[in-house]
Amino acid sequence: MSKGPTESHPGKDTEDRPGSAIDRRSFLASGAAAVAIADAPAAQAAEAAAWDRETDVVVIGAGAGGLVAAIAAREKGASVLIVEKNFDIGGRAMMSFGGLYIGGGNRLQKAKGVEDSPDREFADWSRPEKPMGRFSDRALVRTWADNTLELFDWLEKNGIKWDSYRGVPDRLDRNRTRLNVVRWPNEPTTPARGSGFVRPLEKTARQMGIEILLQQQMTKIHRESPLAGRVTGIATVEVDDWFKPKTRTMNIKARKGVIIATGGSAGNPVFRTMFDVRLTEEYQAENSEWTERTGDGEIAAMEIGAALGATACQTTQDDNLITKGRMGKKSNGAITELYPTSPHFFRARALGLVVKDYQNVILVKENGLRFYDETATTRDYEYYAAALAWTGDPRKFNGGGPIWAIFDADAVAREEWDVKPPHVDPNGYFFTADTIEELAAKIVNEYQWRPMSGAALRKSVERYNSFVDAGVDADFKKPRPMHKIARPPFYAAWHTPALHDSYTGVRINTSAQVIDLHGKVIPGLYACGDSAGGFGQHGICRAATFGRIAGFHAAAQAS
Amino acid sequence: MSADRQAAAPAALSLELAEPVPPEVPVGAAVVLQVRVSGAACNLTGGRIEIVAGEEIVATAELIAFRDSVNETAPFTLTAPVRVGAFSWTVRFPSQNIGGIAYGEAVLAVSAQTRPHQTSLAVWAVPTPVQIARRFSVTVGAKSSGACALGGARIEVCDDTGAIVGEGILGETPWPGSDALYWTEVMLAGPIREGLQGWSVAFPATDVALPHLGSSAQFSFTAVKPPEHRVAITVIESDVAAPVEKTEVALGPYRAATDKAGLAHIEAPRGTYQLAVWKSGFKPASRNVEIAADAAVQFELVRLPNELTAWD
Repeated sequence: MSKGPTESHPGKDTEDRPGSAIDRRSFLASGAAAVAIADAPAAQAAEAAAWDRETDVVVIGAGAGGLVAAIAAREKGASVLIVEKNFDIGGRAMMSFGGLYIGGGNRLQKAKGVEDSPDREFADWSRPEKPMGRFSDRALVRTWADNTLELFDWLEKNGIKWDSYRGVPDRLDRNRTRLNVVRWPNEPTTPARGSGFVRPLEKTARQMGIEILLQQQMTKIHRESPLAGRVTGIATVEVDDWFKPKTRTMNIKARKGVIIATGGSAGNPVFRTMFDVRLTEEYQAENSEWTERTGDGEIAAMEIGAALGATACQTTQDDNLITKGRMGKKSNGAITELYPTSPHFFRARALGLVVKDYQNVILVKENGLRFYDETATTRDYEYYAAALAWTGDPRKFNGGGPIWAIFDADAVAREEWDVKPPHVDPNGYFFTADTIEELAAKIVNEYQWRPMSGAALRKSVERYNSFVDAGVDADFKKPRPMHKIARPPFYAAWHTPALHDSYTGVRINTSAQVIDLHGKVIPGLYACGDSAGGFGQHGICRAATFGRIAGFHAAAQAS
Repeated sequence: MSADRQAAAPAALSLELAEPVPPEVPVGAAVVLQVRVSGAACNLTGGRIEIVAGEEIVATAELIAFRDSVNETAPFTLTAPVRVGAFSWTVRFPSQNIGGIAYGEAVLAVSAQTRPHQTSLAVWAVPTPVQIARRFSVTVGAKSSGACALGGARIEVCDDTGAIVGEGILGETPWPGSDALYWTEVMLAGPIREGLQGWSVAFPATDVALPHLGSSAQFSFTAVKPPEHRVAITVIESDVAAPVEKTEVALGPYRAATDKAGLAHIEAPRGTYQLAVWKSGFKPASRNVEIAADAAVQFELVRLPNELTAWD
């Protein structure tokens, strides 16, 4: 018998006991009696509840990595249970463009006459001259490269339909491996192509008998003792549509392994400021209307001894870890897009506006002052340095506060924006006024720590307008300022940088096993996707590669 | 209530406001009051409250709710005085008989200060460049912080020496799409010198019904000599030699956008200009060109690498 939670139903595979879920507080009260008569390790173990469910492999998160891991484990004969915090599957991948860095010389590449190999992939993604490549764990990069050919076939077998290769260089890919999937037909939530990755896998998973428990948040990973022994299962709590815990809790035993696939930590200011102290709470995680990405998997793993991996990948200032994003809505990631009819739209509140040409706006900080050339590309980290610079809040020295796009009616016409809901969120993230001073006075937002000075904003606008006449931006060298901000009404749209990805997480080895602070494997614990550290590659393929490896490895463990 | 209690002298009442009146409010502003009466643990529902300004009762309200030993009115609105200065109201619970009990008068003095409304301006439809000595027009709008009607009020435009170069009277209808931006188009005397001009608009706000603070705004434009030559500018993408449409072209102060053929025309006097071309997604580019006759200029734009612009 393990030293983990008491097995109240030994031998029952994935048996649900909905009526048996007990309140953690009441358990702790009853557990106290057991502690009194137990030795020390047993006392630690007794902190957990009786098992409510039991399975071979528990996967935490039903995104790209989690779905792949679950199918892989099931394929090898393991019983599998997925817990997902949202009320739908998909995770971050659902809202993505559905692109994978997957090549190695597959049939699509051969048909196009593209020469590729695992060696080439490895060479591309471990390039020392590029910050995006220089900090990755090369053993993991090699593992990814060596698996892409198999993974291509395996994903096809499990329902993925390929669209086409992008055909242009992308990040460290030299125009060979960025392959898009076909969007899931009639996906009702989002036009994003990522549905073409997660929906087919969801279908496959369900056909294989994998149960997906929605609106269940993992709250703890059980280990035989706090920092030693095997991982034995997880605790969960049921959450509401806003991810807020309800009362029903559950303990799920994992006979073979627990796989963390929780999507990273971009939405957790406390966690992300371990790597970059500037990324305080005003910066929103892209797609947080779909998935919060609170680092819960990483934190639970760290609580039982896990280390973080290749943390430098998080601060390369090379990929778009931060994006300029959309504007006019709180969760303003660049590619955020939900149908207004989507069941998730209540969290998004608006679609947001995309700025096609930054000649049409000026960007000002909370004080009404410009701070950089607005036409900066989304990977200009000097732009972010300026945006995240302190402006005087005596109670908050890190982070730079809100960034507001200021524009006029002519800009709206040129960009063909619709400046009404559902495109914008007038509840603190989009404002309209007849004059510039009135616009400044209207800006009331949870992160705007003081009123914006109308005089300062007017001065910024008048000075910028004079730059348009002069043909030179004397302050920030914006290339040939083209359009004045003059014709009423005037607009202010939230345009604070948004956080795109997590490029570090818990440390894993090439089998996707989580490594502890002493360099030892934590038996029974795996991680993949944005929750796993070590390989600073954006997107779905990293998640799928290590999710599949984790699923296979976990399924092969002894019960 | 028992006969014994009816016979007892009623307790003294005290008055308070649910929310205090702000110490300063704009003239003529709506001020919301909600009066609470306490001191007698009795239901005074139906009781009368009066608001007195000077000797005049300016509002009355009725106590409509009784809970936790406190009676209160519904929120009701008073209008602040239309003159700037200190003002006071007396909230009065007059002597009255409620439910067979006689209650004595209670009062609460409320004082505050009125201030003028603020104003702010917008100036748009400013042509640029403007030919020297040629009259031109701009559009000016004024807004009251209280959204007051400003139609009929005067605005004036001064050049960079402070000389008045035009005046206008705000119209009676707000600018379309605005809340209460009263506007007019003002004809202005032409500039007398070449180059960048910084002119100003003043709104004294002395002829508005309620007291308002005046405001001013700056606007700029470039004054030029009359054009002499026609310049045809073609913009193509360097790698593919294809025309680039909807490209912003600036020849010194002159502006145009390319058509589907990548072509834009600008008329300008002779001289040396910076020719700048802008299109989002391409490297910004500029070079100096000398215009001494009608001319055709070709400009090549280089597309930015996808990795700099891709957001996925």
